[in-house]
Amino acid sequence: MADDAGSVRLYGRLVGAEVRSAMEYPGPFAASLLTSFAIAALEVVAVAAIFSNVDELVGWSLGEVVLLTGLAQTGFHLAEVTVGQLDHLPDLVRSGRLDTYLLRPRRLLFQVVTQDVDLAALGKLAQSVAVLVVGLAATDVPFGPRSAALLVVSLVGGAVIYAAVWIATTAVTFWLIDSREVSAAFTYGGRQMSMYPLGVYAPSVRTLARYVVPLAFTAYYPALGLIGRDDELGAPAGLAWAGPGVAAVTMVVGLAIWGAGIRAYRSTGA
Amino acid sequence: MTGVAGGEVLIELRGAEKVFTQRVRRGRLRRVRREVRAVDGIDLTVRRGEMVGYLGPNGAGKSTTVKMLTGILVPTDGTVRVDGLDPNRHRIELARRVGVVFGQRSQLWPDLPLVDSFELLRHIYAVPEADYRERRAELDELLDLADILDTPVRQLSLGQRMRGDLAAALLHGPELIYLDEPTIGLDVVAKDRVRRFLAHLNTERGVTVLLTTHDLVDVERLCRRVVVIDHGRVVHDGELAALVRASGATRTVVVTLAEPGPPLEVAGVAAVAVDGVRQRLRLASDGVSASAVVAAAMARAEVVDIAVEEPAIDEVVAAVYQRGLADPV
Repeated sequence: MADDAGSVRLYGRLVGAEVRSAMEYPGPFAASLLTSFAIAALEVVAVAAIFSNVDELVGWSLGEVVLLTGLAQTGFHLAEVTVGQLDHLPDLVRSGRLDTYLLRPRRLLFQVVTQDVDLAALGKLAQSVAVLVVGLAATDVPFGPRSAALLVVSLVGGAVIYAAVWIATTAVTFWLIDSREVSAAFTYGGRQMSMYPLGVYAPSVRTLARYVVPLAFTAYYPALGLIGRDDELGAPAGLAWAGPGVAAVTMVVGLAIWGAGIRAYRSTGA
Repeated sequence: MTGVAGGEVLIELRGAEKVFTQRVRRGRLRRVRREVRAVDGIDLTVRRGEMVGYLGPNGAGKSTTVKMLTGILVPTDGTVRVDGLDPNRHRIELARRVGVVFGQRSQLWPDLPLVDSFELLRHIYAVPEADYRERRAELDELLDLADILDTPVRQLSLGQRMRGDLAAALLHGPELIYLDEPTIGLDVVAKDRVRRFLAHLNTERGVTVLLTTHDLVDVERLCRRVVVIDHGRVVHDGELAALVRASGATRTVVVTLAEPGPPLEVAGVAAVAVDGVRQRLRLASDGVSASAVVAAAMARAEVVDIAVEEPAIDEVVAAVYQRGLADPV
């Protein structure tokens, strides 16, 4: 589109306005930042708790699972900071604010993700980056251009996959009024699932994560590539690099579902 | 006709229908689908430069009409055109040329100073710098915004916020505005200011206005033409005076007596309501002279105060609606 450059600047302005709004209440803002950091940290405690009872999980060491956790969390929280505002969609529909957005000459999705930005998600993002760094150190991932490139590719791919899943599952709101449960099962639930090696899951879940909702590409395959080990489930090594391609396809599908949702909303009302 | 002569057609609804499907609970699990016709075949033409009062009881289909005109909702049947464009397919293009104010819903950023909302909207609408500055200067003056620009929106009074929302809806220089109860909840001074501003927009700027309201004074002061809808159908489309006449609603003479007494018997009065020293005399018809009634009342009792009340819009609309069911206009 012609005004894409303008959209990037407008994105900055709108998110900036959200930051200034949050700063109107510095106390609650700091508290929620700390809380979100702590909650994210608890998930790592859960991983550590498992390894206090076992030495390895389907052949994965503690350090390797921490790396997996760091990848899953970082990709997820990157997506959360960007599109987590979609969780407010049911409220926007109910309060009529969504209609206000439809009166403006901008795409609906763009307006939804630039309102009510939850800056506390930055706390979770910071925590997950820390976990990722610990995981990289613990697994002796060789430091070099290949692993650096693979890391960037994985995180971008992972974030886009989570964002696409978020967009697609939130669009259910347009048909069902409140999609939060459905959406959370795939987004928050998907992150939770991706924190552990695919091998611990039943074959049906593995199939789902590889071919349907491609969460295996957010952490599992990238982690294999970074550590340099073969997939015990027999996937080719090159899949570690497939993230962005899979992400692009997932996003196209996600946006199509979103578009269908808006059309349903506009023809049925809510 | 009542439209401005020669003005080109800006809004056109032809047999517009909007049917919602609701799921109604019947028993613990059973849900029955029920169809609700919010808009049931509306024909309406508004020409450029007109200011039309769009009235009707709650749930009559006013908001649904506006939502179809803005492309938020797609009509179930019939056609809707705004400046020849289908609002459904050209939502974004039309949004650049149309302004909307919902009296009970603000589009401003509550935690930021008012001026920040203006700046953000300027970028959302991609308003060129020079145009923006010119319009801001005009709106700041007409709506007296200077003192409230730096106040966070959540701290504004209702009247101040409404002025802010009006300005916000006009920053991109729309040629057409939809106003949904723009004076609701405002005090007399604030209402007057908003009305004068709307009149200025329409007469000086040629902005076309579709005004939804429950306030008869809004309509009297601003709109020559009034469209009344009920149950999703147009039951009146014409001049305000004709509407009041058609409704049969009449004025009321309110007299305050020196001391309480029996209901006054005065020719030309249809009904008397007594409330202590105050008596409300409803005129029998539009032809009865209020001053003759006042004179007759003063001949019968000692009157310390008098007032003449116009028929309330709700009564007028209700009367037109009741008549409209049997005899649609």
